[in-house]
Amino acid sequence: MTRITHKQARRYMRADLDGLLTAAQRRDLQTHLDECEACRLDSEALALLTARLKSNFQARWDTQHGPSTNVMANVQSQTRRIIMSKRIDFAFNILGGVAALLVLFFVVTSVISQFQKKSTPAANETQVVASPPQSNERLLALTSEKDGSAEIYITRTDGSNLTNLTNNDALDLNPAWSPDGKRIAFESNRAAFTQIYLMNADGSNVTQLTYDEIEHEMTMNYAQSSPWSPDGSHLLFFQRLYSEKESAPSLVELYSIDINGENKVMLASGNISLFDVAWSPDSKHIAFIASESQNPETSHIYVVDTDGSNLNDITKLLHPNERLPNSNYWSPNGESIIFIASNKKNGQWTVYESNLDGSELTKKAGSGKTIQSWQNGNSFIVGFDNSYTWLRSDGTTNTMDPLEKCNPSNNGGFGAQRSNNGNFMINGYCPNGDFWFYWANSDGTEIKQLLNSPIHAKDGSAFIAWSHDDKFIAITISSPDQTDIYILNIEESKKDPSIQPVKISLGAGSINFNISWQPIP
Amino acid sequence: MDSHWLEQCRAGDSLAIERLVQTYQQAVYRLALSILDDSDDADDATQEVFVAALRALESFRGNASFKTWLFSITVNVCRTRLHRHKRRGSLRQILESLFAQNQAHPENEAIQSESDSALWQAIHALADKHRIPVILRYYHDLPIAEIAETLGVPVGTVHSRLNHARERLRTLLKEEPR
Repeated sequence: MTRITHKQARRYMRADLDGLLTAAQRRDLQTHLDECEACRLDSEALALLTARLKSNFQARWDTQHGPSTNVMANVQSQTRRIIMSKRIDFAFNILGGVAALLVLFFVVTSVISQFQKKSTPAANETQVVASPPQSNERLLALTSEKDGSAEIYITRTDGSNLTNLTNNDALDLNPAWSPDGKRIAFESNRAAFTQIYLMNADGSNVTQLTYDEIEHEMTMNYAQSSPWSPDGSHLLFFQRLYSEKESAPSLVELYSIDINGENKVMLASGNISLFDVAWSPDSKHIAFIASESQNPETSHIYVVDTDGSNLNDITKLLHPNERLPNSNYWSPNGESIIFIASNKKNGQWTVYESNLDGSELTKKAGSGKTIQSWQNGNSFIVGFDNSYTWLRSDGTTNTMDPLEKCNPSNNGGFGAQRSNNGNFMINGYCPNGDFWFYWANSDGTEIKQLLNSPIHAKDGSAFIAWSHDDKFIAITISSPDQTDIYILNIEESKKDPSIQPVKISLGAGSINFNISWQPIP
Repeated sequence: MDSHWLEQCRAGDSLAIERLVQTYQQAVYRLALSILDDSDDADDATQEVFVAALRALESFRGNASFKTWLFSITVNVCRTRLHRHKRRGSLRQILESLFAQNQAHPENEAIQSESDSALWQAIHALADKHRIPVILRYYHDLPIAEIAETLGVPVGTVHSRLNHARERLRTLLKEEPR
């Protein structure tokens, strides 16, 4: 549930009248209306105007009978004249066409003979060659309400050229770059329901991929990977059906669709929750965690082929006491999946590797503490004592305190985001509102503080987005009145923590989020 | 509407054309009536719409639904007629004559109350670009995307025009006599 401002509530009310609100936004609006009498009165006045318009229009025009019977006769008679004139035009066109073809034949013959006389191009002829992208020219896409309506923007890593690509009154959200970095998929409710769209990196050539009259949402907010298939041919999205009274959807369906908006395939369906939806590296399978709605204790990991066939529960061999946190990872060769289970009876955490039909389950590592992720034999462990620990396959460990800069550290918070390449960005949030940031490699043998002064945001929260090559991170710091994005060049910040990050201020708003880095192929 | 039927209309099949006109004449007439607010004018416009549509049938490519395509022709025909009316006399004079005419019809008794009369004055005080989306939304119950397609403008523009119209109507109605 997101708390919205009076200004947003006012905008939401009007969008709702035009069928442009998502179910989640409608719930946020209703919560606001329950608490704010002024907004409620405004909403009631709008509803009254709507009812008054409808009843007056119906009273005035519904009582009128249809068109007079002369309409049909007149249309028929005029149509006959049109058809006759078209036939005459057609005959003239044929005669004209033959004449034009004869002229064209003589012109073409003459031009060809001229070309044959001078077939060698001039030495100074200009050739148009597309310039390859420079490595430092990557862009990032984001959603912002800075100009009053949620729009997709792109900007450079130095914060320059912040450009609104969508620019309309509808809500445009959740940009996702295609693997080749040329196109952006996004969601928009410009066609009443939220639908999935594609556009070029400059905002041109917008095409709508989905059309069903239901809410659509791409999978990246419920996964650690892109909704795009690695080969760039398909996108994953949810369709959610909300009943009138329930806050949770009554039906969730997972689909893939090709980038021409065709070949939509249902991969999962039911009154379920779906997380960690991830393409296999070869784009042939999709893995996801599914549980009964609102009951994560019933989670299972499934793998399905892209055509919706061969659905397998790869966690069927787990002990009934073992449940799944929301993380699963494809092995680099795409032949197995690594996941972490916790035993609710003995508190033991275990890393497993399963083949794609769930018939073989191998234990990779274990710990009495929470294993947040695992890669190449290294477990990344969260301790109850405000610590992160790397436990390596040889038994050696390395531990850090993400709240070491806080004084006192009580009531502080911390978080870690692993990149696809295994590096970590760790943040510690002190009770006074200071954020501190650290970079760590995959086994914790190298840990660097990135900024020697904190980013301050009282009551804020931090969201981290790694660039695909781990060279940059974007940190979104959101507090109730302000959202800022900080962009760090990892190598530069590791060498010199006094370098200040690039800051992009987005102002207030609840939807200043969804950073997506442009891949550099 | 299937493509075979359209082909028959394009070829001048009178039965196919009759079926097309019968299928859509009520919807086209209602739309014309709601924009022009005059039954005779709506009759003429309906005829004009079908003739224009049959003339342009070859340009229909199926990007929009046939009904949406027909509605966009209807809106354009009605706009042209409104502009012609405006050239002939001031809008105020037309509205006055409309009200005088409507008051003479017994079926329009429902709008005789003082407040409804104020609403109609407020609606007619809106510019066409704000009034037509209001009619499409609140009388024809069209979704915003379909209004956008009918008017040939982006969805956001329809939403902002509706917002403008609603705020303007509220302002005008606040001034109505109690």
